[in-house]
Amino acid sequence: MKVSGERQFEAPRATVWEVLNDPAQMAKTMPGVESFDIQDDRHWRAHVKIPLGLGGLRMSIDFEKMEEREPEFAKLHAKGNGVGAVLNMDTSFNLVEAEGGTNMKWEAEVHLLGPVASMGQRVLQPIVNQQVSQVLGALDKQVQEAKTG
Amino acid sequence: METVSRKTITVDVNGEQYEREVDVRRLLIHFIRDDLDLTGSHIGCDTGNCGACSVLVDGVLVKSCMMLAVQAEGAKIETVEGLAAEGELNDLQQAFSDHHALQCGYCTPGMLMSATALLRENKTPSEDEIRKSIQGNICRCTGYVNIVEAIQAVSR
Amino acid sequence: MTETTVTPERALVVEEGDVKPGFIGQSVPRKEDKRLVQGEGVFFDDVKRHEMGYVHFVRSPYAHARIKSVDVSKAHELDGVYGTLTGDEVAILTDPFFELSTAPGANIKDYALAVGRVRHVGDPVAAVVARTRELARDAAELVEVEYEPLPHVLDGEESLKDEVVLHEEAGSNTVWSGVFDWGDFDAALADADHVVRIERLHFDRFSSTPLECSGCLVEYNRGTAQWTIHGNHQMPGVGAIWMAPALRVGIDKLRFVSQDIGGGFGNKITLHPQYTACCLLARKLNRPVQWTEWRTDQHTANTHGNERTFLDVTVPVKADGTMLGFSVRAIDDCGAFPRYEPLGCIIWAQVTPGCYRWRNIRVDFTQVCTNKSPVAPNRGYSRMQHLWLTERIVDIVAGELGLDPIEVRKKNYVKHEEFPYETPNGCIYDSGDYARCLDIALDLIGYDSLEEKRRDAESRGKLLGIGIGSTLDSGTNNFGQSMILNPELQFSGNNEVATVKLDIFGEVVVTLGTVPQGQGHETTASQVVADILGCTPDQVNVRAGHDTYWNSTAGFSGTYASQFAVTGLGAVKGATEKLAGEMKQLAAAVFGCSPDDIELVESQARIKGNPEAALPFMALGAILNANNAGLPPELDVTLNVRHVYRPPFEKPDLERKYGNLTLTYATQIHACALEIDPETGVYEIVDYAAVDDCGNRIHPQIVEGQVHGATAQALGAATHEIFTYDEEGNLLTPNFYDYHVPHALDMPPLKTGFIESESPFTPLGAKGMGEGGGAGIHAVCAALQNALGRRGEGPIVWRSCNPYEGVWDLVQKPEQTRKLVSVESR
Repeated sequence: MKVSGERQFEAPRATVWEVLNDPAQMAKTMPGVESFDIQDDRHWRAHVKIPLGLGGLRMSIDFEKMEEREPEFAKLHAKGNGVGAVLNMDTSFNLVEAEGGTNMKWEAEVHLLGPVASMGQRVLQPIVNQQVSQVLGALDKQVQEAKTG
Repeated sequence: METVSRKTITVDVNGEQYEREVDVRRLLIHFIRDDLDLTGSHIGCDTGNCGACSVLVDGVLVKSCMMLAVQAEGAKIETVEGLAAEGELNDLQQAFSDHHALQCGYCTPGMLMSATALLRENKTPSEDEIRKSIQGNICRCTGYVNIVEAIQAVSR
Repeated sequence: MTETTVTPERALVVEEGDVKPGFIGQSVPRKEDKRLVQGEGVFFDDVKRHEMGYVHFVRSPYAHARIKSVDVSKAHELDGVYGTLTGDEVAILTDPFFELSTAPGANIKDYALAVGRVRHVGDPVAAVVARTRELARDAAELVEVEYEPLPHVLDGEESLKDEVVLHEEAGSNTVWSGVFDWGDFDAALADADHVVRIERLHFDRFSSTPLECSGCLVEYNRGTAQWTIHGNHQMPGVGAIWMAPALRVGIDKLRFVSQDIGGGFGNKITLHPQYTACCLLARKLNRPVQWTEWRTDQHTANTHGNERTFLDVTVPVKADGTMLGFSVRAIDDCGAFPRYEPLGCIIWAQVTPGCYRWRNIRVDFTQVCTNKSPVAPNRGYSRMQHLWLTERIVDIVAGELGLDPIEVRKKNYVKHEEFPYETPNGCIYDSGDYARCLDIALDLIGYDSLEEKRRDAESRGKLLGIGIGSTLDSGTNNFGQSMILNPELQFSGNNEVATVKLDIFGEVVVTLGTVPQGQGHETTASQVVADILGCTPDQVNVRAGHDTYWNSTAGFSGTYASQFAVTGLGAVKGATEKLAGEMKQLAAAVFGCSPDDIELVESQARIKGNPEAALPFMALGAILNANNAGLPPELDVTLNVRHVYRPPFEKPDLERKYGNLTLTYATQIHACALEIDPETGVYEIVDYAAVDDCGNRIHPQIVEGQVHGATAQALGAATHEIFTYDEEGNLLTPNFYDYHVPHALDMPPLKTGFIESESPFTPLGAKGMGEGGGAGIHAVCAALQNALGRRGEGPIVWRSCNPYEGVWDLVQKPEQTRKLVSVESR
């Protein structure tokens, strides 16, 4: 499924870019991240627990930065595995300066496979929406901290 | 991977006592079928929808695939094997045969246990009450027509 | 000419022209019941072997992907794991399964586990065997498979483009393609007063989902290199034809054993890939291995019924409502592997014109692979899809031309006097009276008060519709039809075997070749034997189940395709008649008279007119088996008779695609009255009647039970049961939580009626029945159309499955489906 959106940040583009491209900072925005490790500046892995099913669905997700044009565009690929679930995701974002802040346009293509996907179909959209809004909310916070700090 | 622990349980099934050691994650239906060799109760699904595994646990109708064996510790379990006394079919079983309420027979043990639970509570159920009592038992062969008839025959 | 009668308190003729009351035709108590109601049946999962290992398959989460690597090492490290099997091993140890099609389908490589590529979600990639069921699952999760996802195709029409090709060895997704052209469609088109065109109709994917899942317990005997498979395969003869060459062994090395089976409905015919994997494991690990399919696996990775799209349906019609025929382009989606296909590409031709006297028919038929579950001959196999088409045609044509669908049916039905009726492609409909069945159905649902019911429904804000579903259960196949698809196949005719013997203590023992899954074969066989031997069904022992090593099977043995009453009972009758003859010869030798003077009555062989001169069966059995000194040397009797029933078939004319493809045609005509709530799309069946005609009914209660069951399955398929996929190729209804099958509260009040049009072609005048031809689906679609359709305006019911939200769509946006139909009037 495809999801996309737009968000305004009250911060300079360089700040937003820095937050988005720092795996350590991004890890704080992602919901359910239990731990992560950085392999190099283009590869990192996060261990997450997604609120799906009894006790949550644990996954290991490998992130790879596929493309970047600082400070305006980046594209990421994510590949995750858990019990009964396989996740493939491509996401990209565009940053544009806008009236004292930054406008971010983003989109993601999410593929979820496995028995979890078959059974969870009906709740998939609402869960993705919830996760997205959590990420964006946390991102806001991170960007504010980066601006002041 | 964590080790799976085991526990010893004691159950009464159809009047007989059994003591066995089981994996704590073993389902009651597997315990009945594999550990106790009582293969009359069947498995037809993996989501607790079909009712083929229906048994009575302390008089309550239960889908035994939705219960762990360890949860049945100390319980009195009744399965289809306990219905006929020494090879003599009880009235309900005979009615099932008379009314052709079974074809392949796979859902039958579950149906019989559901009907047994119903008739203990309500000796003269209406057709609607009968249908509701077996709503949790799936049959692919009969269309339920003769099953309802058989239960009605016994409840008159 | 055949006699039909509504009330058969019939005396049954079985032999020698003597009319005598018999057990055939009576609803005798079923032999199978005593064990089944006590939970003493033996289903394959009830069978245990010491130290057996439990199998769990590792299955693909991708609809289409290359397999980059399979690593089973971590699974092996788990304590309690006995071993594994991967696709690489399978590719070395076995040859691909035999394909039925011509090229390109012939080049498909189908193995017991995925080799190189996975082609549908659930495709098995590896197998793990462990000490317990739970450990096998744990171990399966430790198998690491690396996939490289490939684009996938989930739609038949899309697949035709061959942009995403599933089987590189075939080079195309087309399994089989051909044009069937009988009569003169172009002339019919020119002759028409109206031409009705339907752009598209779609028969949805569903299956009969038997309650017992597939599975087996396989033992391998190293000393004799022989496998014993305790399973629930419904057609082991054909299963062995696939498995033996793949395993590179002779066919006698595969012994199939089953006793009780929890329903099959055609979904336990293509178990050979999974069975072969289990055979390899049993041999490799030198221990018995047990595999029980999970419900989720059955829905995802066992089999579905054929999904078929009908395009460009063109129907020439005369002003008075006579239809001259039709032409259509059909695309059949058989999923990831054909297996039993492409037989579905010809099987529908058994009922080319449906119940109708249409002479000009053209069908352009193509079957394609998609990245979905493979299909199998699900109940009604291929005829159901085609009959649904003919019924939709009748209703849509009647609706568009403002004609009464009841009158149109009667006008176009094959008439009672015309039987035996030869269809445009040479099939012989043996007997029937469709108009009469229709009248009975209408009477049962109170059709006369239709208008009153409609007004009453309207007053409650509901839309009432009445629809008819006419269908045929063609039974006893001539497998020569497979040669029409592929002239190089060496299959034709049909057969079934039965062995009947008289044991040393006078017990009559019958061994069948069939594989019953609830159809009551033990019981009906005993009725036939009892009538011939002059004893009671209780005195006839019929061995329960099936065992290849009973040596009572032939190539086509099994239980499928509505044929037991003809083939199975034909074999029983043949064997028993021979046995009866031998018993008389033996008795005659003992008494010193002629065999013609002997009759078999009351479990004795006695001289006619001399009840004192009688030999009970026990005496006959004892004499031959243990006390035979002094018998005349020329007396050639064994009292152990094996008979192969062979229906009278010719090989079809491959050029014209012409010939008799099935021996019998049982009728089912259903009438459905339903009420729709137009605000929600929810509909309720308020009255329902099913009328069947299967010739002489051997056991009326069993026949009726089949009608009930087929109706329930059809109603499920009409409303809730559908296998749909998301864009990733995940099946959205992989279990009974999401795939709703009717339960007791879902069933409408069901009325039944029957007539018996004896078949002139079969040993007992009976016809095979049971599949039910999907009549419920046709009737519900027709009733929905009747409720919603307004000539030239209302929506068109174009799919076989119409869930409530679908009906709501039809009500809300009639223009979307309305544009599927056009009428050209001249």
